Amino acid sequence: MDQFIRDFADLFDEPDRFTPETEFKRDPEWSSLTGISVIAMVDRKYGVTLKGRDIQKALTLADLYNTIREKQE
Amino acid sequence: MSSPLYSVSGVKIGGIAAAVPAESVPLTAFDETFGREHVAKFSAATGIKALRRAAENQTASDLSLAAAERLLSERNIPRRDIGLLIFASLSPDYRRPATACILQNRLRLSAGCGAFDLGLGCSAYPYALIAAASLLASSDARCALVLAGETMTKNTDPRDSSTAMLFGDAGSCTLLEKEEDAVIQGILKTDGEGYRDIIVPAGGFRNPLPAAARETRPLDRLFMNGMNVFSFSISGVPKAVREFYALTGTTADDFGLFALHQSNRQILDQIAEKIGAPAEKIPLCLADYANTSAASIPLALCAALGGNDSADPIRTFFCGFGVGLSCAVAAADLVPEGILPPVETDAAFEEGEIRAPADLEE
Repeated sequence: MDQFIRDFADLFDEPDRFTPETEFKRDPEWSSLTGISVIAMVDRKYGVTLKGRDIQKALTLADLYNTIREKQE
Repeated sequence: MSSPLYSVSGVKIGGIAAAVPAESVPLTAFDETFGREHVAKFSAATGIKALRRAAENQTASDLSLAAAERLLSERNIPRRDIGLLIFASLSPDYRRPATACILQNRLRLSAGCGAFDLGLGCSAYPYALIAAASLLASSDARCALVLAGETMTKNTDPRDSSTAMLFGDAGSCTLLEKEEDAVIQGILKTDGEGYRDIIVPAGGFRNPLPAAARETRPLDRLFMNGMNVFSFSISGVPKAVREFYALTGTTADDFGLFALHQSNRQILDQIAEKIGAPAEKIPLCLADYANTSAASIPLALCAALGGNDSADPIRTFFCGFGVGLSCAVAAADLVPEGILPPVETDAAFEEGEIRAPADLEE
């Protein structure tokens, strides 16, 4: 999980504000462009291709991480 | 899930030309509307620095016609030799007739020439190559033309940053000719479940055209679910490519050139990595022309190889993907000397402008 939070945070200019509880779509830097960067990063590093709806459904970063784990199984 | 493999013997690509509108819009022109920082980020992620915008009365068929005229005169092709014309596009001149009929007339092709539209966007080019090659091979005609063009800027909502800065306008023409030893192969794929992911909802017959007063986003403009499209592009497309490699017993090493739909830089990088295509073998024209949908593959080839007078054929891999959702892969030989650099044009078909019923009176 910690590694995932770091990988996620690396996509942002100021990466220190993210925790598992962060409601990432409420972040002021969030846009569909960052959504695409998240899908790209997860595809590269976790071997899973998220869809738009996976990101829509996840509220927090922990939710998103759990979705990735489920898809990896 | 697996696709039939199309193998067409006896047809080659004899030449490609492309045409773009004269007006180039730098992405910085959007700074005021979308904010400088956002535009810079968008440009860095997509690789787009400028796009071409068609004149108000200029259509995809005008652009494709300019490319066709250039190609036919440069390659010295008698018009009577052309037995088939396919216009691959989702930017028609009218709701009917098919734009291919207008192009047959304007190109002064024979009345014996078959002409029809192929209604796909970003995947249209390899689809049309396979369709035209198959039809040509089964006929006694000498040549076929594939005209692929789009005017996406007329489709996007200028207030929607994710599409207004992504798409540009262009037209193209590809000549297919009979040649005994040539082989064109390909597979065609569809993921219609994603039909809403890139859609212009109104303008057909399912939904009424929006009323004149437009309070929300107009339904006759493009809606795109960028995340779903990205997801399809980096998973579905490499899967199709691996399937094509397996069906044809080829690997990435068998191809000297990867002519991929110019969707955006981020998608292309990810696809290239997954299909083993080295960056130096992928022509790119996003920086100058943005994503031109159906026209992007021939435009990228013309921009990269136009002016190269080598006569040595390059086995080329083609892949188009997008609206549908739809995807096609093809392989064919390309001879660089047959590929012309893009031309600029503002020409439009004034006779085709019908602004009142009286304009139709004979």
